[in-house]
Amino acid sequence: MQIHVQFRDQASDRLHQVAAGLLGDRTELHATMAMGVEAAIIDHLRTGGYIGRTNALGAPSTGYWGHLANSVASTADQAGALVSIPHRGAALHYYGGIVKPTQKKALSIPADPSAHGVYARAYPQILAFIPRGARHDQHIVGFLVLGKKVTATRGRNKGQPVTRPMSREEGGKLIYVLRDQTTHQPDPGMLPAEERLRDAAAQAGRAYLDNLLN
Amino acid sequence: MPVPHQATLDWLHGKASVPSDLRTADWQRVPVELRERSFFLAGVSEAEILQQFRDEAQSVAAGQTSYSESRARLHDYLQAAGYRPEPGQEGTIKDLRTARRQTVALQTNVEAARAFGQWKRQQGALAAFPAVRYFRARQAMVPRDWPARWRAALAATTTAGAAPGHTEGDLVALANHPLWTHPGFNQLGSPWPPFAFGSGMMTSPVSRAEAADLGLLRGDIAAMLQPQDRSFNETLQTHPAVTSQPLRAALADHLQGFAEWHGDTLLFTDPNGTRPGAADQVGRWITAPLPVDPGTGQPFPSHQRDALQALADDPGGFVNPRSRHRDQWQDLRRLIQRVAGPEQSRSLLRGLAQAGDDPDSLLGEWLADTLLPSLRRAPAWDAARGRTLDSAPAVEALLQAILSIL
Repeated sequence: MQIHVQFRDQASDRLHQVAAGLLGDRTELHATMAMGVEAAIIDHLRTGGYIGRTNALGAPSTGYWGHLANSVASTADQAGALVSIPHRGAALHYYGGIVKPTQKKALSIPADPSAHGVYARAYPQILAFIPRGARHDQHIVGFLVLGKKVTATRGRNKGQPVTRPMSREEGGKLIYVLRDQTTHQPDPGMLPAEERLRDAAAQAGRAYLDNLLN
Repeated sequence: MPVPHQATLDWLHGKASVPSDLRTADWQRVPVELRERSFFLAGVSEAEILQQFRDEAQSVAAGQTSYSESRARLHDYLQAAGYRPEPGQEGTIKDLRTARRQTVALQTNVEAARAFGQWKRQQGALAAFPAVRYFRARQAMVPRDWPARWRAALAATTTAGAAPGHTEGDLVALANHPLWTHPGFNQLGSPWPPFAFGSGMMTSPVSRAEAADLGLLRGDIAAMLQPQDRSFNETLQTHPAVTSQPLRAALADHLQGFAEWHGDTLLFTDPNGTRPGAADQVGRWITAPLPVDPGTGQPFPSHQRDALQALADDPGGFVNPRSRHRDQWQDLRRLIQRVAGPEQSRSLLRGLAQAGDDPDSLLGEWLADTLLPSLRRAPAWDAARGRTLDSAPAVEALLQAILSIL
């Protein structure tokens, strides 16, 4: 899902009146206004503590907010313009929501800095599954910890290689928490206020028309 | 009437949003240019695997997957394909299985595609947004001293139109300042980022008001305020580690129509883009048969050759504003500009530079009132009529006739 900021001529009546009198094709005006909105969004992410923020695990940043800012884009036509943030997860951050797995049984939530930005199946070391205990949150399915390959000495897999959790003494540690859903709080502050966006569009439009008239 | 919050923040469920300018047909071809680029890069080595990298980069750029998801899918693909790196390269950046290699490959292509989109949109809005801020979007694995590079590039070009660059927070310059493509600052050639692999830097548009406050609108800056038209792949080239002549020939054959060897450099000829060249070179580049586009199953189109052919076949119909050929006018303009020198290009652009007017209409008027009458008097025009322009000499002759008019 993506976030789209859509505005039409009604965003600034006076601008609309001037433009209607001057221009046959208002696409270029709208493209310029859209650029104003793009710049406002990127500047907000840059100065508002999003780009460059550290993650809770203290892991090296994946640069998520920088990538999100880099994705801000727009389209324009005679009627208006659309500014989009086509980066995965943008809308989830803005609106919040509940995420559930669609292809696997659980979501793997990083619990160690080495897992930040890495899907469990792509983790470079062996992982072993430990099921949840009775005292754990009902949405926890289990845990993935550092594991090792051993040869089973009993049971139906006797003689076969199996994966077992490493002990703490062996360097074992929690890598992922597996959950059947996660809840994300909305963060409307990740975008500038609507008024700020309209001002940015209007200022850009005025600059375009000023240049036209001079 | 104020725009309600829900109407201004409009969800389009599941729709990919590719940056595009609905006015210019060539910008709508960015997805094609991405496929051309990846086809070229894939031809250098491990074609199928790099094709997968291309698919994932497009998926991230379209907002369909995250970087993490794409790396996981690449991990699955490489495992299923039985990929193994060369001996001694396991775990290094040459090992395609490593997160570091996958990250560099994905981010470089996605960042370049998005930055090209921003650059292209800003060229259409230079009057209101003449400048660009270069800033850090994420930490780099190998930090560079960008202020030092900035100052060196200014010293080598001009200080007009740019902030002094004392710190990373002070890197603002006019969008078409020559420093952006100076090799001391920009290792990768294109005027949009990334300017170095894994730099972690990005750009954002800066308004005319802020540019004026920063003193960027003083001095000899007129040329920097003129919009540029550059294709995504104009500077694309590579230096494959291939010394065997039969292998070099095989590589060029595989990349038929897209590549030429220039010494040890394999050059992407940019048949639909803006790579400049002499009339005979460009004639060769746009008439070379092109390979099949994996995205469509059809051969990659040759838009500039098709535009020239349409002009030769039916000149009156081509310049008619109501004709279906109107979309091809920009292809013809691009073709002419890539062979015309700076002076001739200025002559072509002079009539098309009026801000606020429809440049497509002006281009149509120029084609009808200037190009066509003069072209009809050229011997090359008679030779071109009724012929298929599928040979480099035929195209070159027509291009020379057009150049003589500018």
